[in-house]
Amino acid sequence: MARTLIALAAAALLAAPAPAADAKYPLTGENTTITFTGFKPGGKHDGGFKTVTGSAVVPDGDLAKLKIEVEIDCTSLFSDDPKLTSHLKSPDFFGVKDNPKATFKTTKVEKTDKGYTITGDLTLLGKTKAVSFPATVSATADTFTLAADTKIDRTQWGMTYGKGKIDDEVALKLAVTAKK
Amino acid sequence: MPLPPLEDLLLVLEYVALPAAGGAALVAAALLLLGRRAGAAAAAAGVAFGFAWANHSARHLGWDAESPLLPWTPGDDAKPWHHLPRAAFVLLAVGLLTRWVDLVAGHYLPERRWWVANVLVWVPRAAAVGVVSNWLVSEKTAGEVWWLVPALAAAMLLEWVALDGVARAGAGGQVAAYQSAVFVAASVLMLYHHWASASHVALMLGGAMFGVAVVAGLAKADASGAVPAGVGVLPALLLAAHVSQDSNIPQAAFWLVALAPLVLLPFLVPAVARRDRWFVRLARAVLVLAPLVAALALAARHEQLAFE
Repeated sequence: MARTLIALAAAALLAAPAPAADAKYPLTGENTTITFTGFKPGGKHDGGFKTVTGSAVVPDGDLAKLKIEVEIDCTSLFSDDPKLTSHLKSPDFFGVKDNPKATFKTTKVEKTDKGYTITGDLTLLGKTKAVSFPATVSATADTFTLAADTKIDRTQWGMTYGKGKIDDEVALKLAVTAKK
Repeated sequence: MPLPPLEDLLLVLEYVALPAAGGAALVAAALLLLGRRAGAAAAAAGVAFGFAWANHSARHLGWDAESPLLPWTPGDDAKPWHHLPRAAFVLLAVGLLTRWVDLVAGHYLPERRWWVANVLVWVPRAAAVGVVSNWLVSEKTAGEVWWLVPALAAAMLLEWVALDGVARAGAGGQVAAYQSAVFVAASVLMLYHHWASASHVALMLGGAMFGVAVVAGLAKADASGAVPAGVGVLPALLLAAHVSQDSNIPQAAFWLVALAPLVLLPFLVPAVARRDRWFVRLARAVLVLAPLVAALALAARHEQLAFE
């Protein structure tokens, strides 16, 4: 009887799944694309950032506990017009000499019918504001993917140049395909 | 150099020409009512009014619908250039007050004590320049380059000495015209530097100075009261542009425009000033314009305008 009980216990221990480790996916400019579109009456301009560093961590395989920390090198800003790029880097917009970095850090991730809603603190031009956006997220054994389309009001971070001539809302697109 | 699009030119006319005309009208009205003895105060009021109108009207022209181009009261997170209006107004006020002190001292002091009047005028002006130059450089930049604030203060004070001296020797309208030309050149330099707001600020002050120059020139009035506004803005704006924005424009271009008014220093020497008037006027104009042309040529060689 005792031997049977011991054998059953050993089998139960071996059958129980090992607790999932935190899966960490490094984010770089190669696997993470951050692009934006600014609008004005009769036109738009596209741009983005080439240099990004950070990580996405999925604790226990649970995407609702996803933690993303990203640092964007604002000096890597590019746009569809080199002269516009220079103006975007000026104090009228990103002021990259005085504010070379922007950061994003998740504070909450919630599962929804269509995917997830990611909430986090976006720090831009030295100001931190909470942003929330829907995203499609998935994580396998070695690949993390995220896709999101959202809009932010640039004036909330003090980027007020052209208010009235250039739209306050800027469309942001995020795409991540990161391997461990 | 190509011209900007017509729409932009018309916009510039609206937010520069109209305020400049308003400032000029104010100067003209003051001179008519109070006579030429009020020239300095009228010029100070005219340039302040012209710039204030232009700064305010920027909100209606799409730069920022809720606030002027430069805030009247800098907030906690103000950038150094946000203090430019305050710096200019402080120097205008100190300039006028010390002029009054000079008049009183000249009335009561014996001639051999002429130096006392100069001390009473220039010590407060130097102190005011010392105070405002600290507003116009960020703590971070001042910490990295310890000599920047003293150098800015020295440049501002020397420019004030040069411009005030020539203006009070009977060339008030011309000095305002020189300052107008310098600010227009600074505005174009900022366009090459791809910082549009700084270009607008320079153009606004250039327009205000032009309005004063026209009226003071026609009325042969003393426009030295307007000088401190330019002194408070020019070197600081160009310093801010060089520190806060990168471009391919060589540093020399910024120095040439920022320090252009110093070419007038030799004209404070009585022997030089006593030369034939037309020759002196021509020499002054050429010497002021030369560094501006050189600066813009340098900028054009290294950068392109947004509309080219």
